[in-house]
Amino acid sequence: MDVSGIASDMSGLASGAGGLIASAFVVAGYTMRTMIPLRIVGIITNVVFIIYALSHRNYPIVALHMILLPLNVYRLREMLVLIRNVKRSVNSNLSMNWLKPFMTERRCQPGEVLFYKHERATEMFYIVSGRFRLVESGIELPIGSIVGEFGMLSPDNERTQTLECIEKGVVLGVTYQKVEELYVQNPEFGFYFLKLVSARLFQNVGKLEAQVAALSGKPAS
Amino acid sequence: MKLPVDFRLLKERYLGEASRKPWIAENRFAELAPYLQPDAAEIVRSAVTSLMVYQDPDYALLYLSRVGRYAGPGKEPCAFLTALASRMDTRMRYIDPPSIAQVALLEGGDAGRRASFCLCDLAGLLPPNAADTALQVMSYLRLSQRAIVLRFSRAGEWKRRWTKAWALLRYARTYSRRAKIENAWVERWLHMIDRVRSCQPGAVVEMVQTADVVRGSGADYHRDLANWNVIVDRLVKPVCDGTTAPLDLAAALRVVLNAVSDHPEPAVLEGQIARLIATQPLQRQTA
Repeated sequence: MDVSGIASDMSGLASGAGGLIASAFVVAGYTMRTMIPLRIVGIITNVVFIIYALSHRNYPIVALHMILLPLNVYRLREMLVLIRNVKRSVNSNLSMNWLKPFMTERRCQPGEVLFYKHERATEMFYIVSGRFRLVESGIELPIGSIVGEFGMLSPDNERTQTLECIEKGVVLGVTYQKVEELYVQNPEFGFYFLKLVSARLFQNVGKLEAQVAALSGKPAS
Repeated sequence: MKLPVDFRLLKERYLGEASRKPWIAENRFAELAPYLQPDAAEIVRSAVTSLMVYQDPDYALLYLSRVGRYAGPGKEPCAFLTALASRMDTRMRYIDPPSIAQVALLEGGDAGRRASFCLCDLAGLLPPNAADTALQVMSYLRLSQRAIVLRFSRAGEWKRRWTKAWALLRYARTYSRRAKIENAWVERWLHMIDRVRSCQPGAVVEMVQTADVVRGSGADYHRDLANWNVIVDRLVKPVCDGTTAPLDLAAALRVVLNAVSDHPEPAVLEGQIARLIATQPLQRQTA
């Protein structure tokens, strides 16, 4: 009985099975609907392919997956950090600081208008420095506040006030499209995002009720 | 040509909703028409048609949504809507190379059209980020204000192709830096109309008429645009903000509009406005 022949056959089978398993993970990856499972399957696929390609000394494939592996890990971590931050925000101060990594910086000069009343809303802003005023109501927005988050969910998608820069400053902007992408790619983020925006809306309603009560002299219900 | 549904969805995803059909804009106009005066309705109808030719039905819908801020269920009829609707149509169909090429293609004769632009206007056809970089390079080379004359004609095979190629750029117009600037201009104009309406309602018609200041293309357009900004920044806005002595804005705007018909340089106009503000309270006191 030729033992070396059987061993050679077995190693051939094992390496063939390795290729099949790696391919199965590629197929599984394509069936994923949302980002986190896709990244996890992507990472497993990368590891399996690296082992498989190393055993066959196929170095271009090894190099390809060595590049893809950290990329998948980075994106997965980014998504998990985002969800953690949104969750924390919902449970604490309702801040939207977690959006900062997805925002782009914009420098504003005095007199510059970021958006006009009735204009179609396409992005929200985070005020980093400078002074900004809502023209119609005359309210000056403090540093660290977010403007325009409700425009994304409002049915008519229109600005309700005009925002003007009154002292040189910097804002961070993120388009609704970017938030929509995060929302669609990640249902868990979407759920917490809705919770957060609703909480901010209820907070505003509460403030208004308190103001109405103060004006009418009755306690808010 | 009708694209398969997947391609249409992709087109809609990456090129916006410009694939909307003209009947959507026409239906929106039909909803709005009962709230418009007959002359205003006629202007809006013709504007919708011309804006669909100029850009696409979505652009006409944007126009209608802007008109809808002043007319519609539960809104007081505006006396100045006729003046506003025609001027907004003119400003939304701003002159750029694709628009001149479109006109040359639509016109019957072979005479063609020519228009003068600055090199910065050609850079303005690019998306904002690319245009900003191109403009920085042009400014460094001191080329941004250099005039360039573009000729468009249907006479001859190559001239027709050249004109058609420029006219095709209208599909990219929505994403251009110029479109962003023009959109901001119209919004600022409407915003100032609203502010004047609340602080000095008698000056609304004059504020609407300030749109006539911005005309043409090339160097003339840039000068007129700068003049308009001077009028708003030095006269209208300070009056609405209450940072200047109270004055009769309608009378002041009439004087300024008269002065601007001579196409002065922005610095000259600024001086005229400063003198006007200095003398206007005295005029009111003596009146």
